[in-house]
Amino acid sequence: MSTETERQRRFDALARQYSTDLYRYALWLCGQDALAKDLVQETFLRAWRALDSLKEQAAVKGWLITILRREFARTFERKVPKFTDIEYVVVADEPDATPDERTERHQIREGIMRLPKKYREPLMLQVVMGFSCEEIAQQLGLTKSAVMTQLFRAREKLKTVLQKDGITGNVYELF
Amino acid sequence: MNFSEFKELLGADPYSQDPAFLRARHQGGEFTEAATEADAFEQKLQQALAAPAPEGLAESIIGHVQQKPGHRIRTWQWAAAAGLFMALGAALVVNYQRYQFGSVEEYVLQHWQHDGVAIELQAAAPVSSERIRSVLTAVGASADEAIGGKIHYIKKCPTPDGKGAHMVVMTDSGPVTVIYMPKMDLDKAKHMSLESKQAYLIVMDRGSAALIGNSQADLQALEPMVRKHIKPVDELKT
Repeated sequence: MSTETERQRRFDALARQYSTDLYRYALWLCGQDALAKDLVQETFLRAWRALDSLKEQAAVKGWLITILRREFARTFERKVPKFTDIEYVVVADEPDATPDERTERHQIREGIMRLPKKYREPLMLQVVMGFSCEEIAQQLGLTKSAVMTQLFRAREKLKTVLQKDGITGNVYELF
Repeated sequence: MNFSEFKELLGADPYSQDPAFLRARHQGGEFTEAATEADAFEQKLQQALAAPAPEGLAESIIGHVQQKPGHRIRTWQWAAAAGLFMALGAALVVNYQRYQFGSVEEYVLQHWQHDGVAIELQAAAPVSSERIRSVLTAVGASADEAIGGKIHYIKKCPTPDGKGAHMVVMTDSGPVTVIYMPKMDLDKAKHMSLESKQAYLIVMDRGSAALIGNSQADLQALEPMVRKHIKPVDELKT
């Protein structure tokens, strides 16, 4: 197998394995489907160009997230988000869910988008990407204890918002 | 590990594989109860965050990259590429503008598909006048008392150029969703079909509104009522 074919094969495996998680992470980071897709496309394009520099397979997830976060920062330097006040993320219909479950998920998503980024981002890295607290600390340039504090507060804030909104109660009290 | 330490770790890292934490999870009593509650919350969180990725995302990424190999390009290919580049540039400008400003129709369709039906189903009883006032004030508008008792649901909603209001108004022919978009202008009133519903887009004193109802609803007849009762705040003051 030629080096180029091997390189392509390696890239294809990365794209198939991580594109969904990266898309979800990007979606919760920026709140917009179109921008999330762009971010993931650009992330993989940069990953393709720099693939030879990736020596440790175990580090691939962190490497991709680093690229995506940099690209996100660059994007927001040059582009104002379409929705000036993002209160929820539009997620495609989930036919498997009951109406109550759909409402509940919608409320959780709204709560997440209302979390300050410093709480939302570590939570997304943990829940969506499956990062450990050490990995999150490394990614965000924080200490592990700072990350744990943020994660604890993120969950507490989210629970408070959801309780206030009455996750199983009156939808009118959402805002 | 005492309960306080356990709760802290549970709140920060319920996925922790720390042996002492794992033992505490199963020691029963308040430990196990807290762990069960946290696990249920995590499950809901995971389900909410598991947004479906666009279909064929990985393949489109792979295809995108495969179009960029470093193969030799002949002169005619450069010329063709330059022409294509210019055409794409023009298309991108047009598309960027569409993306940036969107049309009222696109926004209404997307908004309705997202939560229109679910919200309509939850519009059970009239909303308090305080609630109506609070939401409409936030979007720079107000409604007079006459429409108050008819509004069975109201919330703020994002529109491409600022906040709007999503309401469900109860009428003789069933619920009608009114999406008020004070920052989105419309040239003239127009009809649009919306899955099993019909929509009527109207020009408001400020911005526009979409009236969405079932096929029996006389949306055109509702227009004067909506226009009369929902007004920009500064207009009401004068």
